[in-house]
Amino acid sequence: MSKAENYAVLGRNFDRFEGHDKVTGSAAYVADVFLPGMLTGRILRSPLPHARIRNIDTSRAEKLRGVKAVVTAEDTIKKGWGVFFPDQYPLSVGKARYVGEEVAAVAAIDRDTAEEALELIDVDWEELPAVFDAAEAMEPDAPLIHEEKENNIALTIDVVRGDIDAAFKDSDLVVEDTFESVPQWHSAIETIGSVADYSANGKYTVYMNTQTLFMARMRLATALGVREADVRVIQTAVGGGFGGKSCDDNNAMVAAILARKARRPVKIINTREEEFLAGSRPRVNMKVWVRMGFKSDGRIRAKHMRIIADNGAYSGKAPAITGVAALRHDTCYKYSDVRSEAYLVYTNKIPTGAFRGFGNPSAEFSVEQMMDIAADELGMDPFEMARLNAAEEGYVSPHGNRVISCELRQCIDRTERMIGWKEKRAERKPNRGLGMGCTVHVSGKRHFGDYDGSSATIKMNEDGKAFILSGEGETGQGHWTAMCQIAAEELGVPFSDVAISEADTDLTTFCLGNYASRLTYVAGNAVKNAATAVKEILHETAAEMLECDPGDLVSRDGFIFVKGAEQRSISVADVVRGRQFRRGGAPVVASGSFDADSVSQDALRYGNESGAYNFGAQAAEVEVDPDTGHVKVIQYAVASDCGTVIYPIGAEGQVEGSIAQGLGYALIEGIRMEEGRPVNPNFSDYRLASMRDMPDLVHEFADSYEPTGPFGAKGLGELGMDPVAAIISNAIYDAVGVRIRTLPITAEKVLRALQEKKKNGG
Amino acid sequence: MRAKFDYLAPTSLDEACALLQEHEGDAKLLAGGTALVMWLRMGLLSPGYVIDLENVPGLDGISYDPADGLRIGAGVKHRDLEMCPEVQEHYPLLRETFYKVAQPRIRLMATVGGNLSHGDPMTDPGASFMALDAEVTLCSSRGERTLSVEDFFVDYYETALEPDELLTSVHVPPPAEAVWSHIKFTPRSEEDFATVGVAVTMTGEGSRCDDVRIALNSVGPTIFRAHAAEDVLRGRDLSPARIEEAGAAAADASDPIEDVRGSPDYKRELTAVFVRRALEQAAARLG
Repeated sequence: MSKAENYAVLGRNFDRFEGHDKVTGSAAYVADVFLPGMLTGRILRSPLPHARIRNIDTSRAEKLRGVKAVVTAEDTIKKGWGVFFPDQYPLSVGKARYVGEEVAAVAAIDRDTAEEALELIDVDWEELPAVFDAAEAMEPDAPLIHEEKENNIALTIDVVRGDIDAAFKDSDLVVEDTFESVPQWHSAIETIGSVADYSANGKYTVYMNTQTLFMARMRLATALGVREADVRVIQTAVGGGFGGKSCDDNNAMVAAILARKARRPVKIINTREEEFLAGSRPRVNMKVWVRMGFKSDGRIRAKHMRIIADNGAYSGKAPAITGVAALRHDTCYKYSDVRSEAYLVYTNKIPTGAFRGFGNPSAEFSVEQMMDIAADELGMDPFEMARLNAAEEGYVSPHGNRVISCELRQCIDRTERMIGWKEKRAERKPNRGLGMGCTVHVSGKRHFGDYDGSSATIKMNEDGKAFILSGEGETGQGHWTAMCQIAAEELGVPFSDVAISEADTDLTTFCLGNYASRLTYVAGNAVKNAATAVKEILHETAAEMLECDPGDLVSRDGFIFVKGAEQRSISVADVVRGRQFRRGGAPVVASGSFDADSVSQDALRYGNESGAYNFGAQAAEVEVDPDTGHVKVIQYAVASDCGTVIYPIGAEGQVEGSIAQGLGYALIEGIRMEEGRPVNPNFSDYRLASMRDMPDLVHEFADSYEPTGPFGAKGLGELGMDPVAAIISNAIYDAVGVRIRTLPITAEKVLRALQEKKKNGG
Repeated sequence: MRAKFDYLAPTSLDEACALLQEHEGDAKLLAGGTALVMWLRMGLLSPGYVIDLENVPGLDGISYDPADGLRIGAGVKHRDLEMCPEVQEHYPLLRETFYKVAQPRIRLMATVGGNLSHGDPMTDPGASFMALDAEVTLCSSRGERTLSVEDFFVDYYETALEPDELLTSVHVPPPAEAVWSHIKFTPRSEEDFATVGVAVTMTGEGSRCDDVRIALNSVGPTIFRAHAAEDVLRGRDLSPARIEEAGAAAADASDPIEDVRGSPDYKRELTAVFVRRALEQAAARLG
């Protein structure tokens, strides 16, 4: 980290900005919000996967003592909402499309009364034929889930770059296979919740544990039929997001509708069971067919991929996720002839959505196994093949992604060394195996409107302390701390002299929020620019006070010095006071903004989607029990190129968390559905990798600098998650010669594959 | 809907028994609450009365006597049993078993009596108690009776407890010269319920097995003893073939269900594997 050594604040660990509140239990999560007169809201959910509502009779519920409001679609504007397709409603209009869909809701003086009232709502259902499999849903005779969507197809992608037929003809080796991922669930420790208030002047105030504040406001305004500024969203402490709290669900909408009708604040906190059904929306499940062509020296020559993505009943972010799965990974290796097809298909199941990786894990599960298969066929070392094909500085992907900084080869080298690849392959142990893979992710993505930016305001207090106003919000990953570090570094003040605001749509400028590994890069640049502007004001005033030229000043440790004559100095506090307390005085305050140098993809989905790309390589050593199929991950090695590391302990946390979730995705997790109903909606049946299940994890950050990033930094949060499942599968193949193509890779699947192999004389 | 019930908090065993009798069939006992509260929340139980045993004296405590063995109050927490020095010294199988149950947060709440009374075939302690030939004491206003742990488990979530009875203690005989082994197979997560659980105690010398007890959890409607597997080995030489045969016999006796941990066939195959491995481990410990 050669560059980081020159920094005063960056690259060093501090107590997390909000850490003391969290470890002492005083941080206020949404369940801790209590407003005077607040009611408890509960939601009536569809018990059927696909059913028309003939009639809803709420009269009995309304008469129950303690019930203050009962709402159905009749209390809404019945206008569809959704980030890409407006296909969902806060409360079912006409019919319900999955088990768990919000049909009606009650606000009452307490939870028991509200739940009793739910039982008094009579819904006259007409059950409709349902479809649960994405491929079946595309058949001509399949029941239509959204009448206007032919063959239940929400989205079709078919892009061709170069000459794919000629490229396959020119290939020395062509391999193809089909892989299927699994609807993984975020399992954040805190479920989604909100407290909504409606004032007499027509304004909604909503406390939410969301990770995308202004997006929440936009969607609330659309669904409620009001203007954005008529909704104020305040972020509470958030107990984990991972994409699941990016506001594609209806919790806050329903709370707001109830609050308006009851004229009292309403709190709705999802139970864990509700959270599985209709809270954070699980990963989009994908079936991925890939064919890849290689030259005999290991170079990738052609790639053709076809994805069938299971949308569930409503679209949310799945259209963008499907696009990422189809195109993103072509930024990892160098080749030019590609065809990517993808179909996003409605089914009568839980709607899917954003989850760390955002489509990339499904793609990497497929492609990183194809790389391994090809290396095996060509008799090549997978590390050699990765190095040969690795993206580098200046690479432009077939879809227009422009790579500025890239230390993928360095990551490959580091990983090879950390896992002891050569040594272990030279001395193989029975049933032990090694696997590797590479990964790429973005630092922000131009999805929404033609904007991938951020803004922040910094105001100086008269004691010299800086305060950042930002609407990006903290989701638990350490973003606030990193922003304070960036501001402190740029302002030349100690870390302890910077604080950051809670996110509040009324008090901060527009921010997109926490997704696409964007905050350190995009929001970091905005904060840095704000700090630069504040520093200019400080230097202007300091120059007057020190009687020198502003260009001769430097800031360090809370003081402003004259370069070369450092005894001439003044504290930042004195400068702020000097500017404020004088005739014509003014506060020291400035805003900064940043919009990444990316473009919206065109109609053919061409265009540089992000300002910077993060790269990585990983490897695993596993041991397979041949009698039981049990896979034990012995060691896991990770090298990540995230540019300059701003907040090391936070960055390490992102790596560790990514690998834990990646291993869960690979080996354990997945919502299992029968007839549209989850059969494992609890933590007894839906297991996660626990601390005890983690392997020996070794990781390093590449020596890297992104010229467009704040102090050279870029994103990291999702990168590590993406390739884990493929790497585990590759390692299992190396250990015992069987390849599992569907997730999760359970012990039973491995044992059956081993038995099959034995039967066939393997 | 949240469960609605009357909460009763007796302060003596007699009072608890009287309340159980009074509300026979409509009352559930609350000890650690790790199973009961979950079942109430899920709506699987809707008792009219919940009788909290928190204030009932005499249900806690672990006592060890070389001649009498180990007596464990029904209210003893899993964690206390796991950490008890006498248990660690004289009943390493129990220490090992309880250490493997869930994680410390659960073990600090869950009680020994509550676990057994719940009759959950997926939990670990019952098999080890069975392998150690333990017995339980059941108490009601009609009096007291003792029963072997083996006879205590009747069917899926069904025990020998009459509606007016409660389990007050567990008695484990003095530690014999037996060797032991325990395997809890948890391929998803170490904190999961067992896919297969095996507890073995064995006496013998060299390669001869004088006596053996094999108990299994998670592979049948109850925690059960694999008698047929024991008969293969009892009084015989422990050859690899015989150990294999015992594993197969245990698999025959298993009757696992399909769940997120695997298919019945898979669990049956694993029963053979893990009974074999547990027997090999125990045999290796014979002097």
